Amino acid sequence: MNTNNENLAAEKISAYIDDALNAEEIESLIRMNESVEQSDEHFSVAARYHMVGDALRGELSDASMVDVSAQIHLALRNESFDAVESMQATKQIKNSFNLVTWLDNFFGSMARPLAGMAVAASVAVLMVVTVVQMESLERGQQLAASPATLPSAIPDIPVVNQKQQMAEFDAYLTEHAEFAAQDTLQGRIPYVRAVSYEAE
Amino acid sequence: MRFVLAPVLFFSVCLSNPVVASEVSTLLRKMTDADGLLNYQGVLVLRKSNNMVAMRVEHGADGRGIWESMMSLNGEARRVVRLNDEVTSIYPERQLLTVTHNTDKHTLHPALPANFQKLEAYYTINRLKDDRIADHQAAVLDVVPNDGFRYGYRYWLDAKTGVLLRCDLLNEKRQVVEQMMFTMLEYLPDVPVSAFTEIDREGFEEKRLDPVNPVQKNPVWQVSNLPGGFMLTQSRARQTEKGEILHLAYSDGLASVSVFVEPAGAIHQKREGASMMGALNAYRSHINQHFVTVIGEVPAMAVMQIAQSVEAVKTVTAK
Repeated sequence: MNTNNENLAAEKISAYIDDALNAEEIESLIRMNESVEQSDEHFSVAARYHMVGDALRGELSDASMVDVSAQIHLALRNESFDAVESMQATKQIKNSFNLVTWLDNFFGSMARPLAGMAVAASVAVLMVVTVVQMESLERGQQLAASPATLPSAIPDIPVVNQKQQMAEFDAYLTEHAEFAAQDTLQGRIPYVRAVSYEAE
Repeated sequence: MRFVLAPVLFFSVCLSNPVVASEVSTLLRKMTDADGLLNYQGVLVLRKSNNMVAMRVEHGADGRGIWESMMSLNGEARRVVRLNDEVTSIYPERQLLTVTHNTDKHTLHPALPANFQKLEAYYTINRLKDDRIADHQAAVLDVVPNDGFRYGYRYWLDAKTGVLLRCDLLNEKRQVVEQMMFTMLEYLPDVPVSAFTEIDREGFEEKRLDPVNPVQKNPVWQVSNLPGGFMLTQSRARQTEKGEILHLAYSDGLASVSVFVEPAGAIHQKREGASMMGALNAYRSHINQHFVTVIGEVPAMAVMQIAQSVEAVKTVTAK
């Protein structure tokens, strides 16, 4: 596959993660996903693109053990042709990052003809990641000495469709809140949470 | 780094002082006792990763018991009214009203949450500098977990009454994942009557979520790899149209986790894996033709470990 096609495919996967594809485009992506050998490289490239974006936005998670490209594969395999709505369920995997997979992709890419470009992009990622982590460390140190602040995003966990989830969890949340209020010190807070889930 | 360690070491040293430890224990006890003694109303906000919900709270204790009403001021005007053991949730837009009435409040480990000493094995509690919340002087406690299976807490307690004015929930990176804070709190001489009049049920579909078997001392399911400090506090089953749902509740005194086990056939649409809603993590999986849902205000790895170690209790047959 030539470079243009590779870039196009990677961009499409990136757009999928960002929830920017229409139903037809998702359909074509699902077909591409079925040919794993062909698509693996696109997914690795897309994962790197995505990481660069996350790093530049300061949203890179440094603790996740989730492999981005594997998650996209999995998400697309679970994607239904007639249920475009479920696209929302997988888009939040974007904060995930597996260093081992990334390094594997990074060194693997060095042996390929497009090594120059890949290395440049990867080094840029490495630099940005380092800067972000340094900033995080500094912020963390300040945090410990002053009142804690809210992070811009909760990382690490791929969240499924929240509306659907709320309906499924609703009865459980009430039961959980009831016991948590009884058996923990905080009393009211479990109920406050239960009220808040519907209000969001 | 020394700037980080200095206050921690300072407060750890302070806590080892029996006077400070006793003060912390007294404050925590005051917090748990406050709800049974006081009448108040106010507005609080709950802030999660990217959401903020405001709600009106009315609380009272009178001859009928302890009342509490909470109504969200954002989105659907959902309201929860608690009178002792009865909890009524009202969903006006759906014309739905759910009621749970747990007459048997027996807990399998009555030592929790009263036994503060147990907390010290899993948390380090520091007294921080006093603060002011909603115009009330507040004593501040920093509760730091000793492992990665529970979150940290920071409590702002009304210095006079012990009412929890603000609570921050901190993840394993010491980042705040949830904040609850009163923005207005007014103490009242009597129960705020207007909040606790009979609920108008007309036009509402009413569902009772009462457990059929409130306590099962020998549940048929168990968690074989429970994080340290968590103990089974309740076990009960509820009969639903989908079949019997078993609820196992675990607590370490601060953090709480619920395990729900139900027949898998009836819930084939449900997804497996991890989910997160603010401070609450969930993990769902299929085990032996059953579907397991674990929910708790604990880190993801705690709910995952628990979910993955749920197993049927082996029955011993007589020879």
